Amino acid sequence: MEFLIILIKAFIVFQIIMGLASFCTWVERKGSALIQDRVGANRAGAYLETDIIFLKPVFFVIRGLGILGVINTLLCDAVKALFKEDFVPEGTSNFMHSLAPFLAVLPVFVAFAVVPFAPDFELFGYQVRPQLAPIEGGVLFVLAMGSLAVYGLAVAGWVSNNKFSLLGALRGSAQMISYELAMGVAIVTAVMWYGTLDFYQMVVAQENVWGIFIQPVSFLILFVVGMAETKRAPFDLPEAESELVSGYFTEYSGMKFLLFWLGEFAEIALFSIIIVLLFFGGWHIPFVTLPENVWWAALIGHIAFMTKVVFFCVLQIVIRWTLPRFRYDQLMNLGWKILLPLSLVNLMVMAAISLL
Amino acid sequence: MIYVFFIISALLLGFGVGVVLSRNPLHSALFLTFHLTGVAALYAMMEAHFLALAQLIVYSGAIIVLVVFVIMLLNIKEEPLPRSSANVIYWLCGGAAALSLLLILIPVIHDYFSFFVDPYEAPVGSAIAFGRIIFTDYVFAFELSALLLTAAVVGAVMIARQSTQVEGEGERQK
Repeated sequence: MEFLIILIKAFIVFQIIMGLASFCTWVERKGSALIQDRVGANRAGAYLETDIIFLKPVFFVIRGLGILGVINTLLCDAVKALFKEDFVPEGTSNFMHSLAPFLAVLPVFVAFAVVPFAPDFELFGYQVRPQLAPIEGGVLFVLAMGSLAVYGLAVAGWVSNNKFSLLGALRGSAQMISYELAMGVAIVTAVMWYGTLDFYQMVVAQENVWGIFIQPVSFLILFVVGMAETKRAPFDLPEAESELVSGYFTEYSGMKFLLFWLGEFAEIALFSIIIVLLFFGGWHIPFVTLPENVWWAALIGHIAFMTKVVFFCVLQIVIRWTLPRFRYDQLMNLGWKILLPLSLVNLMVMAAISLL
Repeated sequence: MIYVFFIISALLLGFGVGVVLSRNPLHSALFLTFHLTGVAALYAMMEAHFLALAQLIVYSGAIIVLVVFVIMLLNIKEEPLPRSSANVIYWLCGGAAALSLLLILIPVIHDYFSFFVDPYEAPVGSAIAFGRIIFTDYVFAFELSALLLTAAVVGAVMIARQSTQVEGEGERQK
């Protein structure tokens, strides 16, 4: 029974990851079109007709999804990627070339295991905690997985046998190592304030006052660093298309290419989740107190949580399509000379306040 | 549980051999990463969760990433040296060294396996317990190691500065 519950939990968490990642993909495609005053994907499935009378409502919905570009971005692109030729550049090992996308995706997916998606509830006599791995050091686990995500891009750049890929991978790993410091200190500040390493306890501690009102500077640092760690504009130096073709995944095609994107969108979702858990009260709704240990309260809490997460996903994508790219020295200056000292000062100030 | 331990240990040995035997430096670095991640799994099995996570963050996440970074920066390709022929003396020396190491390690290994006979009772692996031990019983060693690391960083900066100063003077003379 224990095993079955864990299996169901794993399935649900996987669905949440894939749902958030596909939602981000769609917002990226259609939202970027909106921002750039284009029409965007609106053809695939938009003209489907049927003669069977009881299927007409279904096809109406399909046509609507087609006009919104959902079918194009989520179904057609995936099918296209699956059937594309898998190109491996000459003179590299096929195994390492295939390993890189998995190294990029695996740590991000595993990090979702410690995320609590809703408050505890009781169902059919079982006490359920909606968290796949309720370990004590959840924050540390996410940090560890975040630092392991560098390998995917480093290996991809190395095995591609391409100077653009190598340059992209170099830039990417330098950027991720540099910004990890500020991220670590910002998270330590939050951990110090809540006095626990467990995400669940942190959310419980924010029942009355959200973390954003206590430590806005930590939130700001973590949000900027999150944008940099997901390698998105204005921090997308590793894949700067005007300089490096497509950066570290230039030599990837088909499903392997799609895996890199899947990892990137899952990373966006993960960072939104961390920000919501640390600073925006997780599943708490302002001025509303939900009853404890009831399944419908947990469901409402989960919906509130996911609403906040989706808001931050969309915010990150809007920023990505609004701001131009940094120059490389500006990127390094921001990381080492502004964000790191700022986060250290913030740590000192928060330590002093929490001692008072 | 003990089967998991043997599976992880076998993997660890494989990865360790891979680090030494692979001729591509990046393959070596990746094997080392997998090896250190496996060590973290062993720590986690001993209920030392904090130590396992610290191992992941510090070794697999930071140090080997820097190693990979340097490999890519210097663009080291496959080992250019020719394969050395298997000399009998090499094998003898290597075997003797391995045997003496094994002799040193026998008491440790013996203790380690008796740990499986008596189940571990007191879980001291939490971050709170770990921090308490480090900052009370072992605070002197902890601060000393911090001093040692600082000295190493200062030394590295001094060496780097000296070489750049020499280069700068050379340019000025031109």
